[in-house]
Amino acid sequence: MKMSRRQSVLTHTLLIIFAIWSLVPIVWTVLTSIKPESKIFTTQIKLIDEPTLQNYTTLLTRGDFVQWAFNSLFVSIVTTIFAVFLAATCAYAISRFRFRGRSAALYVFLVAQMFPGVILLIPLFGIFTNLKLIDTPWALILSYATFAIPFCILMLKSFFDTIPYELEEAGRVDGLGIFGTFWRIVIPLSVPGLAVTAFFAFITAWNEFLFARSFLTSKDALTLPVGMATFIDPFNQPWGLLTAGSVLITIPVMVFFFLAQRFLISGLSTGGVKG
Amino acid sequence: MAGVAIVAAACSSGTASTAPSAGAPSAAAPSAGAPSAAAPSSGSAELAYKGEITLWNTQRDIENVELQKEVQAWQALHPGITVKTDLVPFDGADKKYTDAANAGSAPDIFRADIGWTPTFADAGMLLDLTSLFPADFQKAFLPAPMGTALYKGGMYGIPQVTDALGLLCNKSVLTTAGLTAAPTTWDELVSAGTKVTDLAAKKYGFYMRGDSYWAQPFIWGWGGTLFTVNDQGLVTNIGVNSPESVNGWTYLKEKILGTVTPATWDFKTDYDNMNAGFKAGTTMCILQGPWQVADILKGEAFTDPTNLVIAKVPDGVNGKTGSPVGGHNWVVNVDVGKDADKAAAVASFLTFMTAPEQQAILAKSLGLLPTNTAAYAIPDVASDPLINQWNAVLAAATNRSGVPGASAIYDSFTKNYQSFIIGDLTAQAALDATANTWETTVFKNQMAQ
Amino acid sequence: MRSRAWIAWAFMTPVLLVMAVIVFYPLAVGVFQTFTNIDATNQGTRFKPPSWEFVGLQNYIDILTGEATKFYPVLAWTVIWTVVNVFFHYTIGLALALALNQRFRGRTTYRLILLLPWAVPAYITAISWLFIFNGEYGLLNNILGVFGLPSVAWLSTWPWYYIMPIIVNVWLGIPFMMVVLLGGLQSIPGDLYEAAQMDGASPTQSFWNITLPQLKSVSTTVILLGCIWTFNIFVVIFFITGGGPGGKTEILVTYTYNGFTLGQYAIAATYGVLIFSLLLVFSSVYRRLAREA
Repeated sequence: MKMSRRQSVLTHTLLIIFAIWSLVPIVWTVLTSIKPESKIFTTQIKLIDEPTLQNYTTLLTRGDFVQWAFNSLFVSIVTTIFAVFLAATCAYAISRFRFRGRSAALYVFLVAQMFPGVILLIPLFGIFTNLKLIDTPWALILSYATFAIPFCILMLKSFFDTIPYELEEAGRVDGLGIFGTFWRIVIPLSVPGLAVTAFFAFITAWNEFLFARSFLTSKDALTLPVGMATFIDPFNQPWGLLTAGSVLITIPVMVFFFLAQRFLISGLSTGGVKG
Repeated sequence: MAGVAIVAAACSSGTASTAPSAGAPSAAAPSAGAPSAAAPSSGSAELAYKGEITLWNTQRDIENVELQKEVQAWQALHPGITVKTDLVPFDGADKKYTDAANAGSAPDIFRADIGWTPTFADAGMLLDLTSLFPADFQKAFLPAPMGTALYKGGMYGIPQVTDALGLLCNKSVLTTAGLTAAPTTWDELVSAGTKVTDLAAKKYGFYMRGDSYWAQPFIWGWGGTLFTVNDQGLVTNIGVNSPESVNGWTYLKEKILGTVTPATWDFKTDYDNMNAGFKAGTTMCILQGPWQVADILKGEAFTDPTNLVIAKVPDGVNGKTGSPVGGHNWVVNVDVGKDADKAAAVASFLTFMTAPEQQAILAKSLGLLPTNTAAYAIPDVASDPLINQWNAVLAAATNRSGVPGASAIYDSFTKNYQSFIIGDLTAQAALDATANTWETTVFKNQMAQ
Repeated sequence: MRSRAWIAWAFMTPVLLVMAVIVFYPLAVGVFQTFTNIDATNQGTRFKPPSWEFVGLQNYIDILTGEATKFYPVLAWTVIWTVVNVFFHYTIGLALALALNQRFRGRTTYRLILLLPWAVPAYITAISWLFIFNGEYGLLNNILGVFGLPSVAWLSTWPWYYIMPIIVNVWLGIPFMMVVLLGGLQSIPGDLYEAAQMDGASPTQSFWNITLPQLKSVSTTVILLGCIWTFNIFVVIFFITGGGPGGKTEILVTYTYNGFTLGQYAIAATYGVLIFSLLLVFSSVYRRLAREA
């Protein structure tokens, strides 16, 4: 259905306004990151002022920044694998099997999203201390996977619901067991849903700040959000480094995002988020 | 609060050391067998301990770089011992240390804010260092900083650095305002400041912060107090909401805010904004501490460092003034006491790091104030014009009483202070609310009955 | 659909186990703490034996009816915060989804740009916006200066300290709603619209009578999720206003966190339980209403 002239103008106006709004902080952060520190706090605004990559080189040559990036990557990737795998198996069970406690389980997963993570902090800290997991990535991986899973389950369950059961029956006829149909038939068809779930889990882990700050102590163990926060002490906020760091931190997510984005729409639409 | 003193502790070889340690700690050092009573200073003494000493430093990166030079120097004198430093951000470091101490994984040495030291000592997390050092070791240090490390008769830390808020001014702007030196009273600052203030053009006679730490001079300068502590470390009186304090804050609101400084400003980023404006030369005076001086001197207004003037906090009424004394202590994990050799090694390290030469080196490189009295006599320090100016500031500063949990006063203090600035609460109401929170929550267990 | 329940449970056990340890057990501990007066000084450490006591419902009473209670003002703002945010998330998200649901050149580019806020970590967003809002040197004030207008200390001035975090959070939350609603729109059968057109319905009528009802299921879920997430979102308020000035922009989660940092564990845990209970009640009521409508 081709758009009328009027529709076209309205549509583009709306989209342009919000596209600009979406871009403003991002662009401003990037522009700030290429300014020398002395030009950042000034009442004379300039879009570009003595561009320099100094902030980036400073960050990338800091051994600790690179270490933090590695830590974040490790935590995020392992979390994603864990979360997606566990959520997929669980969602499959809920989708395909009728059993007592099924709706209770679903409700539990919905409710699990309502906890403010804050109140779990102290007890979890105690648990991880006893398990000697403090200051290791595993405390975070376990926590993040657990927090991401409920949403992933709800998403994947809706997604699996849309895959006709007949396909699995066909597979059963061919001699595949339950796990076989799961792996060979359902999973390949669920790539969009899995992409969304993976993206969600990855982002949750990559961006998380509060728990990372609480469970990691030594500098070498920090993830990027917490490492960056160490730049922000109450008495000094090196905005040049902060903005450059922000850009660097966002890049992997952007990459993942561009790769997954065509799945995001279809993943969230088919099945996706239904009641 | 943060004070960044870099204790450049040089391992003195006896001559410059003010502590007449038992046995001349020069070449022929006493045997390493009896670590506790023997002189722990001296680089040449052979220490029995071999292995690692862990240290958490809360300084900033640039400062730590300098500190590490001293650490390397000590390590060179004691092969076989490595000091592993972890840089921990100051914000939240006390919680980190507490958690680690409770888990049994605290570092051997920690740079604790003076406000945290009594809390840690009271919780039993720190080693009493009295027996590890010579009897009059304490006398080597400025009394106020040393006092912050003493608790209930024990010595729980060695002062690393001390600081206080001083009035920093831009000399050329002062001249424009008709002053030849920094203003000595707030009245003087206001009357001179109005001449150079143009709020719309972001030119300020003064720049205030929305952090209650910065509002304290407006209590002491009018004769008020925060709270009083007796010898047992109990709080006998909370005076923050006395009439004098109310007068001071009222003065701030009516005479200073909106005349020489904006009436409201961005509290979240005011620290950065304050420094940026001062460095750019558009602000006449600010209240700041020694830890920021190195950065301020990088500003375009201070390419000529003599343009920076440091003076004591101006008087309020009747020649009264006050400035919060801050600083940090090196504290030692109580678990270290279980290993006598390690304790001796730690004591040796700390003696080195807090000796005059080391403190002088870091004072010179980072402009931080030594805590070891003898350091001020060292030529580099004695001739440093900025440090000399800080002495005047320290002399007029108010020493804080060491009460466990006292560092928690600032949370409610700042909240109420901000409500006061934006006009939600009157000075009396804000200070009353603060006093109330202190009595019922912060000092719940410390009130003298 | 089979009823071999044990297989289902086998699939679910790993998840439930992990959740039991990481979520339910700490939650139970948290709930337990609400009936005590545990704080940092009496919790018992390896240095000091515990000296906390049971206080029954005292914490709840103090928080809900105490003289100095901050609960209601903070709750009020949290509710307003949630409602305003979700309202804009949904309406703008829907508008953008409708716009993107048409065929035209450049739509993929728009889609990509509009999704960007979702890809940026929330705390980085907050820091970036914080810098833009800086009372002296921020971009916003710089722009005002270009027009000769005086600077505003955004984060300390009423009503801006309420509005600015909302702007940031709306910015953050639109992409998710937009994507979900776009997906929902794309699964509406086109013949419904054709039939309506043949009956002479105007675009507005199609919207109200076809689009919205068809989106009902997706909308209900996404609004519920949005409410829960917004109610609990920590980083925006924490980084943008820090709960200030003077604690005016605290939402329940940031206030609770503050309690934890001050070592008031039992009280903070009580707040946590209250937050959770509120959301539980809300979602139950919401789902019932949604089912009936």
